[in-house]
Amino acid sequence: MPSDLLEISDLIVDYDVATLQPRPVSRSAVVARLEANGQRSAARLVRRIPASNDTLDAEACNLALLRSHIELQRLSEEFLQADRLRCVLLPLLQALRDAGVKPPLRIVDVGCGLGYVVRSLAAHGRLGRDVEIIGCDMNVTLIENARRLAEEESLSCELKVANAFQLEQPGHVFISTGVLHHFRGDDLNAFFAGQRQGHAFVHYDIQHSVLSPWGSWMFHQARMREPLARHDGVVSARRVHSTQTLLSAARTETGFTCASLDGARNLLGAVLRPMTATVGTRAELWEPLLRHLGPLRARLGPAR
Amino acid sequence: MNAVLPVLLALLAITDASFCGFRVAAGRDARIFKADFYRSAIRRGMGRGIFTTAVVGAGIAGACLFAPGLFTQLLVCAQAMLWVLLPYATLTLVGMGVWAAAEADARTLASVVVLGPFTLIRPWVIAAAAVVGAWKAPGLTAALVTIAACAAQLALEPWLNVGMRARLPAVGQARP
Repeated sequence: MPSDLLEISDLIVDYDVATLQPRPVSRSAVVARLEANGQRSAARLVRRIPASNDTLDAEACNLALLRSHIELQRLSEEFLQADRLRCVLLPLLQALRDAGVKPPLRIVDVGCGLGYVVRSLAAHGRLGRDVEIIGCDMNVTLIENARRLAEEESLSCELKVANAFQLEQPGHVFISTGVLHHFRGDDLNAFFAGQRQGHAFVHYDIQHSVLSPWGSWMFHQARMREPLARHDGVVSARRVHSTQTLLSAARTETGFTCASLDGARNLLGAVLRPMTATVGTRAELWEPLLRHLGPLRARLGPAR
Repeated sequence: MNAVLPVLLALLAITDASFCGFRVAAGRDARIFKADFYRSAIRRGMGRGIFTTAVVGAGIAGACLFAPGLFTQLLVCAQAMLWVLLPYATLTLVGMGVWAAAEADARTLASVVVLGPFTLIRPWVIAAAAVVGAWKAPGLTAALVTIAACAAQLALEPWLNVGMRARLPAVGQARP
């Protein structure tokens, strides 16, 4: 059972999911919620965020989130997150092409934040000319900065302030990194339900293991400077869902054939692969995907 | 032997400073292509490492002029410190080598087992080297010099951190 500790980043910004408009957040309400949950150090951090008339300063919150995402990118780079994702996407895209899916093949990164994976895939992906890479997030500040970064390096990708499941041109493959643990219960089901419109998904998140919170603490102490990032990094590792929970939600809500990739079967597995993926495709795409996966196939868990 | 120990310690100090230079820059630039940024950060660390080592070295040389026999005592301290520092440095460099050259899982293993934890314990390793060196020192002056040299090395990373900011595309660029 994952921990119900709260992440500060989930509480200090709020959006209307329909209009994507930011909503004011009451500092005292966030502090009270954290204290009621026994997270006094997190409450202290929130108390330090500037506010006027008890409403958290949106700019200060977004700046803290931005700095945290920049630091987080360093961890993604160290753990080769974009490379790992590319290794799954290449065979998946080939399976889509074999199945006659009409190009352009759209990969949509859900909750892309600063768009590291999207930009990295655009920079190094070699995914093919028939592939469009789109990053979606509801945070305007993160997406604006992601766009500037992409422009600065002339990267061919789209970054949108949007609900990834309500795009004009729906995605063929939905991806995410470090997003799944933010959702609980009905929200997790809704997250997967949104992907029925696509053909496949690959969602990476922290490996569910007794070592993960310790490892996360160590890396966030060693690598991160932003107090918010340090706090949320450790809480994230404690909030991760078990493979069974994710597969069950994914199968029920999408009807796709699903399996876990790099799910740790022992402690060494958790050390070698700190992140694990939940992979799913429409039933008819599963066999072609397995054919193209090559050696990665051995790292897939049982599919259903 | 007389020359080898101080030279080895100086090389370790400068290498450590270069790593510090990288570390204070890492996580501050969200671009994909930033090898130049990191190279410049490493050079900055190395430069300050050379400066600090030269200042510490000059200080020790000056002290040795006024205190005959101090140099021999410091060699005893240096030898004791190397028992702590060399295994740490060797494992770190091996970890770096694996991270730079191996395939994904081995790189991750190097990160998880060596690079991450060793970054965290670095101040404690230097402090331990100072304690061991001072403990083995034949005289008080040598013990104090050992502790001061280690303190200078510990101060390097905070010094490199001064003025470093995240490079926000909307706001401007960070040094270096």
